Amino acid sequence: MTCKVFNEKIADLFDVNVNAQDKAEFERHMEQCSECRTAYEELCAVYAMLQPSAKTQHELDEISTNVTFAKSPTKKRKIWWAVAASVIFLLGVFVGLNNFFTSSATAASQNSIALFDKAITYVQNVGSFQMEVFVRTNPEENFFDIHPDKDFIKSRVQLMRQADTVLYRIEREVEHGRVIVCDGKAQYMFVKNGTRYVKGNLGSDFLGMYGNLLYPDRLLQMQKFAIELAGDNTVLRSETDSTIVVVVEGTEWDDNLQEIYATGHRGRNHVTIENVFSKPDGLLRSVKYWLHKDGNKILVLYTGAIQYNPALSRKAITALPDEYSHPATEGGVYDMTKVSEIEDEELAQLQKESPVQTAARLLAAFTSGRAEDVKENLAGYVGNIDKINKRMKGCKFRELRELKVEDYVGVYIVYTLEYPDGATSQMHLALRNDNPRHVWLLDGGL
Amino acid sequence: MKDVKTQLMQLADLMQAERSNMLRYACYRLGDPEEAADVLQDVYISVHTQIYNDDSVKILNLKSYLFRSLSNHCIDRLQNRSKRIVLSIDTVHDIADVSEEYSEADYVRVTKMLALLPEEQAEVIRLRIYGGKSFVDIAAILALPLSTVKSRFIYGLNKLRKYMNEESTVSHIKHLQP
Ligand SMILES: [Zn+2]
Repeated sequence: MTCKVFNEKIADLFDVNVNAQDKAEFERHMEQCSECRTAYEELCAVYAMLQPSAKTQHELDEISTNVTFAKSPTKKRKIWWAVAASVIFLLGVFVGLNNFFTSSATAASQNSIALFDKAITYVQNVGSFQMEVFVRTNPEENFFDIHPDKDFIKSRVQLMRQADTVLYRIEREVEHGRVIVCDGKAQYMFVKNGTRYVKGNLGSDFLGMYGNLLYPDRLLQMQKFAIELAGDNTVLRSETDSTIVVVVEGTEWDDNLQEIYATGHRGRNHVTIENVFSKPDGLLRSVKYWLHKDGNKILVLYTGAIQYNPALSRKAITALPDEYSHPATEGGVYDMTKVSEIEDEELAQLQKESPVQTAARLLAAFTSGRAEDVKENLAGYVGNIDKINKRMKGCKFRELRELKVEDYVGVYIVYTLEYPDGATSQMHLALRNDNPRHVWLLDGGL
Repeated sequence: MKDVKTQLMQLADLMQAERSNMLRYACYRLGDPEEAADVLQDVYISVHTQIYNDDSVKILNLKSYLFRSLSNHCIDRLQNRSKRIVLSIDTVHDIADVSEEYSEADYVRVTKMLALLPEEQAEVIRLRIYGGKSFVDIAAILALPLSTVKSRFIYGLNKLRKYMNEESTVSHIKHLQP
């Protein structure tokens, strides 16, 4: 074996199975060639460092096999996550999975299907609509989760179509509640009373399960499939002088991972959805959603009356939340749509930095009044360069250390700042590198 | 065209057989074992749905397909993270309350460490070491020539070694090592 061949084939030594004869050849070469041996040993050192620790492996084994894991607090979180996922009915996965009970639709449900079809077509073509939605959840949370043990939180949903674009606004009517706005080009998420907001492109998943309330045709479509495809879902239809009520009750897939692994099948949850249509136009007017849990039927979501074609204006839909204090500059924006322009070489340097190194570089620039030199790390603060320079020029900083804060995706760098007059104060910078380029970006603290 | 039910049963069997490899891969990808478990579910649901909804879909090699799907779901999660958490920082945390003692789990360290590499190299390393896949399997998963897979693996390890040796990154590596 030559050095060249050795280098070409060295990966084989790190494969799952190593051919014994090959291995012997490698070893013979290494006996004679210290250079290749060193190279191999260094690779082994890195390889060893990457191996899962026994602790982690144990933890993972527990997760994947131990059924009593359910009692731990994390599992509790999961149960509610599971409940949120059980609203998969709203998310559209339920129906496709309910395949073991496929049977042809009964004549009774055929009527309802026609009703759904009509309502779907209407909603898809409506110019605008609005509704109030009440969901059991945490007031200040995002739009993803349902918590059956919490009170109802009211949100207002508004949507309008303009030419090819769709504008919408979803607003939690509580203090510090979140507001999502789409102006047809981008989505924004604000916190009322806040000064920062998130901007994302149209594909960003800000809406969570509200996505299907915003497009009620999807919700109807799913129920239609549920009726058509799954014979064990029942459909009750009743009429009054002015309404047709269709109640779809059925099973949906539970989210219990242990059960999936143990049996290869998912468990089920029992849910009920009530759709009220008006006569004679057949429009969807309201929706209620119940979860059946431990013998109880819990109402977890309902809408107020859905209004079609109300007079909505672009201005009203895209307005800043009333209580939102808009920053004077663009400094409050965390813009996920922007890709910073950094040369590859420079990028590689930035990626190599530890958060402490990045913080030190930022602070050095700030305190010498040259914040513009580090703008590639400033993310949303890039509009605050002058302010930063003014405030920090002439200060000194010391004692940087990293602090990991639970629930925060990045890290805090704590430091002591000494002002020109000698006064000091304890400060911090928040940095995060969960961006596509893995660069530490300034995310708070100033 | 394979019978849908047969395919679904194969899927369940495969999930069962590969669960610990998949879980480990996702854990070292996301730096969070709980979230890794969630992702496995996502993969199961989405592949299940795919098979069911479109039985003509040609999933030639379900095993490769599962890992590809797993990788994609992890990427989605990583991208969604920033979207969900961003707004909390200025309001939620009071630094004084947070204990200084924080011992980082190895998957968190590894996640950060592999983030130093070009993603294509990091991915091969993850699939080999955490996914427990052979280079031949990885070539199938990533639809790449075997030789490319192997060289990415070696390049990646070498690059990590270099980072470790470079003086300028001393503090970084201190941070990375136990
Ligand atoms: Zn040699």
